[in-house]
Order: sequence, then structure tokens, then C-alpha cells
Amino acid sequence: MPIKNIRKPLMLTLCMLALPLMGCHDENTSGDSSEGPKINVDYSSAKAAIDSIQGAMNFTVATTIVETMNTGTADAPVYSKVTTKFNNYYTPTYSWCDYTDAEEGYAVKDGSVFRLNLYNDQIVASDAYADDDGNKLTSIYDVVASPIPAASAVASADASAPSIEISNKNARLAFIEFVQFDQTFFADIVSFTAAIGTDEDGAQALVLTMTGSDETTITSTFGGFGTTAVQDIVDFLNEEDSGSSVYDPSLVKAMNGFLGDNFTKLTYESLNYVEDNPVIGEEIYHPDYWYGGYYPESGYSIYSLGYVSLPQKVYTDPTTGKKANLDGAYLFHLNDTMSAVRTVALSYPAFTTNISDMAYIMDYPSNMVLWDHNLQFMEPYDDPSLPVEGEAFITYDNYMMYDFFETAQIMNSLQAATTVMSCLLIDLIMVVNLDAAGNLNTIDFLFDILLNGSAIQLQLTYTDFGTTTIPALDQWMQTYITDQK
Amino acid sequence: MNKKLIPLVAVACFGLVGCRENASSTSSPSTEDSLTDVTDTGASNTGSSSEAYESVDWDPEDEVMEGGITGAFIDAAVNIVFTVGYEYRGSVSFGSYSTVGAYIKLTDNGVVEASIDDSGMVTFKGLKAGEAVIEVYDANDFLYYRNLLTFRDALKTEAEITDFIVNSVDHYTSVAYPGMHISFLAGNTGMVYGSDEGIGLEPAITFGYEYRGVEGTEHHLLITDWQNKTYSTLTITDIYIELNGYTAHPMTSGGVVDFFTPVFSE
Repeated sequence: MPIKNIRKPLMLTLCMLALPLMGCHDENTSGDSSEGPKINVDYSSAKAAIDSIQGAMNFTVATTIVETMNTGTADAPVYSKVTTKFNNYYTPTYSWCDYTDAEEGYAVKDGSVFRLNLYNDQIVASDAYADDDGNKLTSIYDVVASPIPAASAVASADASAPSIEISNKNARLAFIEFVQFDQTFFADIVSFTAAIGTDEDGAQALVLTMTGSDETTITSTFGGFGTTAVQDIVDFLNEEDSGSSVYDPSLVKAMNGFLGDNFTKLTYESLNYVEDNPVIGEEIYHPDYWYGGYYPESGYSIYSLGYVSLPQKVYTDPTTGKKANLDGAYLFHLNDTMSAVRTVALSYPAFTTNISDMAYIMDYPSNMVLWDHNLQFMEPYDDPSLPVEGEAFITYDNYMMYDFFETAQIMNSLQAATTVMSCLLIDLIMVVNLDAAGNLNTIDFLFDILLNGSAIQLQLTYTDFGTTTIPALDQWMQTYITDQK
Repeated sequence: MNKKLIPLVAVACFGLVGCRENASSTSSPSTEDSLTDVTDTGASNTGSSSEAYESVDWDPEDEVMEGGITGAFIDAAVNIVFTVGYEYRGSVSFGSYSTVGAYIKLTDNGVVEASIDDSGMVTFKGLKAGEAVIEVYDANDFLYYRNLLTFRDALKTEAEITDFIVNSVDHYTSVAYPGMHISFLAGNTGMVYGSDEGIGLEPAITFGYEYRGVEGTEHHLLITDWQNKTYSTLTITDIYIELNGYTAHPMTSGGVVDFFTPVFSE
């Protein structure tokens, strides 16, 4: 899953994503000698400017977003105009965006393309990016989309006009992607123009302006052709040992364990860690089904249920031989010991559409952004007081923590136990426990949060990687389910 | 509020004779000159031009409809684009007058071939992308029907139709009840926005889809992830797109929502 943080509506408080900046840049200093094709910008018209900067690999884009946002609370909203400014710097060998608290860029060094972020005020690098065949990428522009509108998008525009409307769908979507707005903003666009304007210094510049029906205005000014450089990035890349990261093998095993979409998650009586915390149930994660079961002695077994993925399948009734076409995910129940299938509701799919991707429906941990070139945010952590054994790693990164919090649906669990007045994420610890053969045994997440002013540590335990099944359900599917022809 | 469902007969029936390509005419014309020249009316072109696309001058005011129409002629009345290589059927009612000896005239540009039987049933098939005017006369040379037929090539594969709906079409827009728009995006996703019978679709409804192949003369997209956060209760479960890409039929559990036509990206 791509790292994508939707900025439009509410994402001001926690982490944002991609583009952002600030921090370690210098404004267009000439420290770096990045070349790229020499660009002579033609400012005689908007179309001429766009045509003349095609293929540019050294330039700066200064963006200003003015939008109306709720700067109060949900109960007492205060709608104000909020202005956000950030810069994107592009060179042939690196890019950088200085959006405050979400600085990010990409670089290529020693034959590897990797991502750069700020973590604890230091530049950190991801592992190397590769294509679908596993071959390393060799250019940052294999992952970085240039914000310059394609010449084809303005091919029929007035060649002499200082300002033109860009109505091309893909050009509009590309700009929305560039400023990291939600794609649905496409439906709100009132205008998207390219015009010859001026930059902050009064020099001529190409200016793209997108306006939404809610009066959101996004203005991006292109400049710095051939003179763009970010000294801090140059210095980082010049360090002998800088480059793409190689992750700790235990982290890689943990990642691969979750990406297999097959494991068990223990359900504790207390979400907050306590010694000898009783296990009252378990969740079975499987590519074809998910089951949340409570043990009979818990008193909650009535709430046990699961969903099974049956896309384009046929069910044959064992008694009548009648066949029914199935397409979607279906609700099922097991007996208390999970040893037999009690019911499968085949009349209708369990969801409003025929969705059957179980990992997507149940938001499996494989969807976490942590696995998307983000393990550099998990640092080795040595704490003998940890309540579980294994190799420990810790992150304080807001985005990683927030994404884990959301994917694991922790707020639901908290709200089931208490009234949540405030919740602050402190740190996330991952403890990887391997067996004697070096295979995954268990993975524990210990999540330190401040809940209603009190510090608590949540424990989430995952086990049985690659081996979890529900034999009774497997047998049921094998017996009664076939593929549609 | 559920969107009012338009009568199925107006859009679901394209007057097709099966779904076979290159099928022969189903009946012989009753006259020798069932395929004859038609004098161009000098009207404006309503179709979009493309390479190897045969346009004709057509003025919608030259449309003639002296009798009731059925089948493919209903589709032509709402400017449905037909697919090259597929047979379509439609008829014009002559009222109390005999259909024996009825004949048709076509623009002689190689776009379409057609025949008419003694019952007045017309069968036509597009031979290449373009436009042609069709006229239906009775044996006494009375003109009962004149309209423009438009044909586009089939986009036969998933890759072709996906490229068309994502990169060529800016959005599909509803016709019978204007105001609803569907845009397809990369990654098998899309959004629905605008309005549903006056109910604003804000924020835009997003969806994911799976391509489920060709069914009849339509590509079938199965909606897999429908995210509706509006006040409308609209839930689209499938979208069927004509092989030529020029008509889309979103479906709910209750039937066809409307028929949508493309607005192209510049």
C-alpha cells in the first residue's frame, strides 16, 4: 500500500504525509552540482512555458494552500482560513519537500533509489526501492512524479495566451496527487489554470492555480531552473556511509510474517498490559477468512463471528443438490470450540457490495504503512523491564504510531472499555520472538499511550505465523464450494 | 432517497440480435434497393471525430418519426452509439398502413448495412466507425423515419476499455436525470459526484471495482468497495459499459440507475 496520508479534511493534528517540508533545507543555494537538461523557460505564454520545461530535472516549486478549516473543536467549531506553505525541490539525484513535520524526499546513490525523511531531526533513509520484478530502481523519477503538466494536456490551448485553463483530467489528478489532497477533490474543482505570473522576488514564473468549490486555493509557482539545491541533502548524500538502509533481519521477518496475512492475534481480557493477562479469545487471520472468536469460559462467545471470502464461487446444497452462485464475503459462525461450522449465511453477501478481499475488508496488519519502506523508523530498543521476551524495536514517529492505532482499531477497543476524553500516542514497541530455528514465534506490540491523562501500555500479541487455519471451515469449503465456470 | 429507476425498456434493450459478431442479416429485404443513397441534408455533425471515423453532416431538426419506434431506434433516439460488427434491430410503426414493400435508404459511405422485412423490422450492422443517416419509407414512398446512426469500434479487452475510461473519458454523465457524474481513475478506482435527484453527492463517493469480463455487448465492472458518506442512499453494485465505451449503465440492486454518456478529456 502506498504511503498516502489524506490531508483534506482533518489531518492537521497528527502526522501528515509525503510532501511536506521545513527543517533542513537551504533556499536554492548552489552547493550541489546537479545537472540535468538545460532549461530555457519561455515566458511568452502559459503554453510556451509548459512546453519549454518538459523534462526539467532541476527546479523548485513553491506551493501555497489556502483552505477553510475547523480550528476549533468538533463541539465548538471555528472555521478559519488557514494558509500552508511548502517547497518542493527537484534535482536529477534527489528531491525534497519541506512541509513542516512531514519532510520527505527521494535520492539515488550507489545504484539504489531510497526515500529520505526526518526522524528526531536527523535524515533517515529507507531501504532500496525495486520494481515488481524485484529489480532495483535507478532513477528517483521512477518513484517521483514530476509536477510539470504534460505537454499533451495543453496541446490544444491558446499558444499565445498568458493564462490558460487546464481541463485535462489526468493533469488535474496529477496536481491533486502532487499536493497530496484526497482524489475526491477532483469533483470540487472549479478551475485549474496555468499562467505567467511572478515569484516572491518579482521574477517571471509559471504559476499553476487550482480552485475548489469550497474556495480552497492551491497555488504552485515554478522557478529555480538549473539553480536548485538543498545543502543538507547534499551533505547527507556525501557522507561515506549514507545510502539506502539495510533492515534488521528480525524486522524483515516480522514484516514478511504480517504480509502473509496468516496468523493468530490473541484477545486479552485487559487491553492494558497486566501480568498473567487472561486470554479470552483469538482472532484468526487468513487470506480467505477472518474469525473473531471468544472462548466459552469468557462469557462473550455469543459475539464470535467471522467472514469467509467466496468470490465467483458455487455452493452445492448437500441435500437437494441445488446450486447457488456466490460472489463476495459471507458471515459465518463456528461452534464454541471452533471445531465445526455452525452456520454460513449464504443468502446475501455480508457487505453492501461484492467485496471479497479479506485483508482489505478487515484491515489486516499487512495494510500498515510500517511495512512500506518504513522500518527505518523502528530503532533497536534495549529494556530489560519489558514484559515479553525477544528482540525489541521502538518508534516515536507520529505517522507510524497513528497508522498502527488506526489499523489495529484501537480506538474501538478503548471506547468499549471506557469513555475516551483524550488519547496521546507516546511510543510503539515491537518485540520479535524467534524460535530456535530462527522462525517467527510471536510478535508483541507494546503501545504506550496517555489515555484520559493516565499512562497505559497496550499489549497486542500475534502468533502462529503462516500456520493458522480453521480446519472445520477449510473442510466445509472443500466439500461444498466450487468455482464458477 | 433512492434514485428513481428509469424504465428498463428505454435503455436496457438495445435491439440486439444475440451478441455475435459479423452475423448475417436475419431476413432479406423486400425490395432490391434496400441499400441506396441518401441525400445529405447539410446539417451539422454531432459526433466527435477521430481517425478513420466517417462523419456526415446532420441536423437534428431533420429527424423524422412519423410512427412509433421500437428496439434500436429507441436507442438511436437518445443518441446511443452502436458498436461496429454487431447487429441491431428496430422497427417503425406504419399505423394502419401496410409495411409490405417498405424500403430503407442509407448514407452511401460504407458505415452501415441494413435490411427491412415485410413486417417492417429493420436489421442493421455497422461496418466501420462513423455515422450514417437511415431513412425508412413505405411502398408509397412516404417517409416514416429518418435519424442518424453512430458507430464506434469495440474495445474488446480489459486493457482497452480501462485505458479508454481512465485516460480518454473525463467523466460519464447521466442523461435521463442529469446531474450525476462518474469518473474512473487509475488503480481500478473511481468516484461518483454531482447530485442524485437533487441530493448533493458531497463528498464524492469513491469506489473500487473488479473487471469481470464481457457479458453480451458490455464490459462488466463489479463494484467491490463503495464508500458513500453522503445523504443519498445510492449504492451502485455494478457498472456495465458498452463495448465501444460510449454508454455506461450503473446498476443498483433495484436495476439500472440511468444511462451515462462520456464527456472527453481535452
